[in-house]
Amino acid sequence: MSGSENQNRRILPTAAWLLVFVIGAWINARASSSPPRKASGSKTKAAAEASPSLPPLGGTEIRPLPPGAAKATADAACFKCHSSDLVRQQRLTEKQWGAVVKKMLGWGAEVSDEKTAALVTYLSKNFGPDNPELAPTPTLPAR
Amino acid sequence: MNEDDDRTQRHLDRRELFALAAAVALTSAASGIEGAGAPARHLLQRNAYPVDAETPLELLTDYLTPNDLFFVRHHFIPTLPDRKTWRLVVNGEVDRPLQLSLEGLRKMPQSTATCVLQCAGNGRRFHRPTVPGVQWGHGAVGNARWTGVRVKDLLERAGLRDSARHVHTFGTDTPPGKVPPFSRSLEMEKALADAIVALEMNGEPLAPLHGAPARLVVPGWAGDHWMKWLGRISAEPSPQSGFYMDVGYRYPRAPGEPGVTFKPEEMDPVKDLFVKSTITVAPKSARVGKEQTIRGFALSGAPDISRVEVTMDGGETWSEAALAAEHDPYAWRQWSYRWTPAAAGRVTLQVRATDSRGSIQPKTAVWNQSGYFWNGWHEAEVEVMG
Repeated sequence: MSGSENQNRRILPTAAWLLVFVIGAWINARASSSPPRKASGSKTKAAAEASPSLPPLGGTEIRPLPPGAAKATADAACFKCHSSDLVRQQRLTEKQWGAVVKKMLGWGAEVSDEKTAALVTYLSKNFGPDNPELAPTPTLPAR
Repeated sequence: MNEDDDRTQRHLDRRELFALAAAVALTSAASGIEGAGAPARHLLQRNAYPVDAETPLELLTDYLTPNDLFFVRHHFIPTLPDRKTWRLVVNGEVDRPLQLSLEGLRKMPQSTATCVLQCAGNGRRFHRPTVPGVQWGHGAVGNARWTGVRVKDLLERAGLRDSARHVHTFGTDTPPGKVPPFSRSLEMEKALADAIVALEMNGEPLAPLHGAPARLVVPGWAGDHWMKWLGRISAEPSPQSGFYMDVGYRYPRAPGEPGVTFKPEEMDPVKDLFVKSTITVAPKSARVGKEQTIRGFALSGAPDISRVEVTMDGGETWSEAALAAEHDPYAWRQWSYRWTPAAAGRVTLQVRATDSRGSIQPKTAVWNQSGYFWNGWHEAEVEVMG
């Protein structure tokens, strides 16, 4: 099988999936725009208000990293493979970050030798052991 | 996979991501939300892509965890197999290699196991010093009824040879860049004992998020062995090699000091789960003389839990909780403890479990550099008012 034939065979079902995505997003948008239900007790109020605003599980949003000298390096290197959540929840020492960055470079992250040290410093400074724990994002349940 | 396939796969990774988001968006929109008065049904997402999300503890109160609330853990953005063209390949040290369609698998004798699936890293965020990885809380765990074909039946049909000692498993999710493939293997003894190629979860066809059309179920073993989007199993004389066998998913053979890292050769692959108990229901406040019921679940890599105990004095004295009757081998055991506060003040409730092989849950989990198998005593604070 040639590469282009193979690609076509994959794109067709993917196009169908994208159509499904648009429909799903539209339904969700309608659900999100509904006014919160009125509730009498605090417990029911919390449940009713929290539900419509919950995002679906997964997604492509990249929540920004804090400003800094190596932010652009991190932006370019990390988010092809995983979201920024995975970076922002870490609480690691400089030594641990050095090991993580080394591992990621071996796995294909593209960072020049000159920028590697600055990246480790940036990550250690912003996501060190004192970094407050990152709260998870409540999402809609999903199948 | 040839080079063209490989290039196409990388090119389409983002498309696949959108496809997965589409499936999730549609099912989420259709499923709706619990009505007023009930806890809002939700997951706690720790990574948007690849998806990692856990279940809030207050929603882990059923014996069978509902599919839409079951935790999700992906290593890579998955390729979703086409159910019509998908085949399970069974090869390696066998006389008659197999290629089975979904229909072909359904025609074979079906077997069911109700058991716990827990991520090896569940509780990682409680390890001190902190360790890298998805910072799971307590909720990367669930209990479900899995139905499919026993690995034993598949291997026997293929004509398993005596030379085979391990089963290598391969998923269809392709890693990005130079990330090594997610490879696992399990000893033949375990594979033949009770492993299942599951097609159903709690009576429904396996969902894409959970590895459709087929995933491996390895009762009592950590989730890394439960290969999702299963494409091939191969009988082999030796264990599989690769990063996720030789470096990742390994646990120190003997515990060391917290913060001290081990070399891979000083560790073994993670396998059976460590005994632990978790509180799912406890009041934040209570009144003297008014009975409360504390609830939770206990699990282990042993087939059963023999005891769950509660302490309110830091482990000086223990009281036994009641174990629910409902149980299956390697399933979690729900428990409850009735408690009538006798005096006002702040109370710290702690629980520990003992499994059927005699392992007792430790007060503090053994620190390890990858943060696996956290199983320290779980606790809840209750303010008792007079």
